[in-house]
Amino acid sequence: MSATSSAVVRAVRPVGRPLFNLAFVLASLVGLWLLVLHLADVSPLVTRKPQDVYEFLFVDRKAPANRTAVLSPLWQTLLDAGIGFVAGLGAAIAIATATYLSRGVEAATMPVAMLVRTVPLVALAPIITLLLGNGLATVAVMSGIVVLFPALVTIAFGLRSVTPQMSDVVHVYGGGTWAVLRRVAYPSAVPSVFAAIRISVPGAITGALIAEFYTTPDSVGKAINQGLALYQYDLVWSLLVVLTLASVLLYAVAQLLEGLVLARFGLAAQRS
Amino acid sequence: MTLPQTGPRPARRTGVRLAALLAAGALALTACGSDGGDSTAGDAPASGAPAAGSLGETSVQFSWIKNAEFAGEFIADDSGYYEKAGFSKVTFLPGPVAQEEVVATGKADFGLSNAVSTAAAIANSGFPLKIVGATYQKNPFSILSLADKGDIKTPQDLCGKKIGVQDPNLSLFKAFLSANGIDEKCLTIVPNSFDVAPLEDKQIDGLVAYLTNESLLVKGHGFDTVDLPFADNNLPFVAETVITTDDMIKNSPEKVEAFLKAEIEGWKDACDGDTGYEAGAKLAVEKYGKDIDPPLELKKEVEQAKQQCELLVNTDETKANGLFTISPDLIEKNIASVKAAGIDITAEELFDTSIIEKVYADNPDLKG
Repeated sequence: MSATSSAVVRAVRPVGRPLFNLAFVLASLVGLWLLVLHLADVSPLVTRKPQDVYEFLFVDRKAPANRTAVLSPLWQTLLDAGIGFVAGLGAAIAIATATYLSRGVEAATMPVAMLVRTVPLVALAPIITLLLGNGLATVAVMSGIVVLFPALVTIAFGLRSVTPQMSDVVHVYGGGTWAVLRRVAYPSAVPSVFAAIRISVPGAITGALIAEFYTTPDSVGKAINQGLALYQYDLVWSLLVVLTLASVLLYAVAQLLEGLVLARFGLAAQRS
Repeated sequence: MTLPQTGPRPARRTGVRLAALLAAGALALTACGSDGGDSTAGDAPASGAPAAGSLGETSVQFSWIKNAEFAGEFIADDSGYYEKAGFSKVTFLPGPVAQEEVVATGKADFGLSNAVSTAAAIANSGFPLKIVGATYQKNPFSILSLADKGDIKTPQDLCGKKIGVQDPNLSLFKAFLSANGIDEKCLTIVPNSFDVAPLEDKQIDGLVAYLTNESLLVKGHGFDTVDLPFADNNLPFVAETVITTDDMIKNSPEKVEAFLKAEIEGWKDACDGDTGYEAGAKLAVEKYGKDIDPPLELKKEVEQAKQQCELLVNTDETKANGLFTISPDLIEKNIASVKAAGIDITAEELFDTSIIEKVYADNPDLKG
């Protein structure tokens, strides 16, 4: 391989891999969908095939109205997921930093974090709703809980990956704990943060869907509940398909960003 | 999914039929005596009816848990009316589930649902179903509130209030608002389950409820309740409707006919005054619904059995035409309500009253 072409490969790899992954995931999803329908003994009255969803959204006489019925709750759900994503990841970075700075904080938070994580969110949901009402705070907390714990564990691990030798170098030059954090620990944790971002994307959407059973605005969680009650299976399947697509796409975007940033930092080899 | 309905209507006692009274009395005795094995057919089949057991087994998907809402079905089974009509066994499947789906996909022969839900299944997903009869002439949906909190007596009272609505009932609630010319923006809709606690804790002003269930439950907890029934406020439709598939109507009409006949007999007994109410409620508490947790309370179940008969099952029309019938006038009102809920369907697509008419033509004595 010539020097030029290997340079091209290097430049393309961070973009190419996510694109390839995306195509592979989409093809597998459609394949699985058809396979499960074929194998499972479920009445065609309640199931829909990929082409049915396509017709509902693009061919049907009412296709424009159908697209609105799917997309308007989708934006609300993506907004809800975004709120949970930011809240959960922000909290994870803050708590991970605190645990890095103080062993005491780690001893105090980690067991509680694990404990809350083991209680199913559906069981916590009514209590959270009771405390915070039916608005954005509930979404932020519920979706945030799903995001927080995996992200916290991953990021805390990244921060701890600083070797004593590396922090010694900073100390030798007169830097304190903060300097170690800023110059060594955070850069070392970048791959972990991106790993946390990737796993948080679907997590935030799952959390948002659960929260939406308890909140007021029209959202995918609510639309699915209502659609089922009215036997609008076309709508329900389309909502699920579009939400899955959105989730896969956002995951691909996170992966793409990760590849680009890690390549820029020269950390590609360390990606977790 | 069942929802309640209510309506301050004057209690109207139906005439006492001697035979039915005796049957109900005997039933009450057996209900006290034991939790009983499967019922056996009592007397010989009426002339023209299929021989006992010749129609095989059948199954009914209920819209709710096995409480007194199905008093008539319990009595029909316990008194052997299904067997007398020709079935060897009847299986009761408890709800709440998507009854239309269960029946259309062949998991049960019959289902008990309501006109709006069935219309949605037919219009939105092409389910091959029809309503062949109706237990409740009026739907039991209502807005339940507390006198010292929401005090919602008229649709106009909804404005400025916080109303708890279950997601599956949201479109029905919106239809109720539009049927009464209420702007959705003047009130706050809060997602709620079927739990009455938020209402009793005064977190919400009103709750979409069943007149015959949650309403009585809250009253039983010592609250002064106010009901705003959908049926009396521009959204009338039939409920606990018997649904079955087009295929069944076409290929096994004798099964549908036999089932409706046993249903009518069961409900005649269940609505036969205090004896009937108590018999149905006792069967719910002590036999069919005895595994329900938290356990059913007999007092509330008797009250429910009574209320549903007085408010929903017996009307002037059923007095004239017989139980389970749906008059052309009522069908027209149903179609209008279904339209208000945003579902486009014709009467022929939703109802088939030919079999219930045949039941009464063949058994005129059932009417009395």
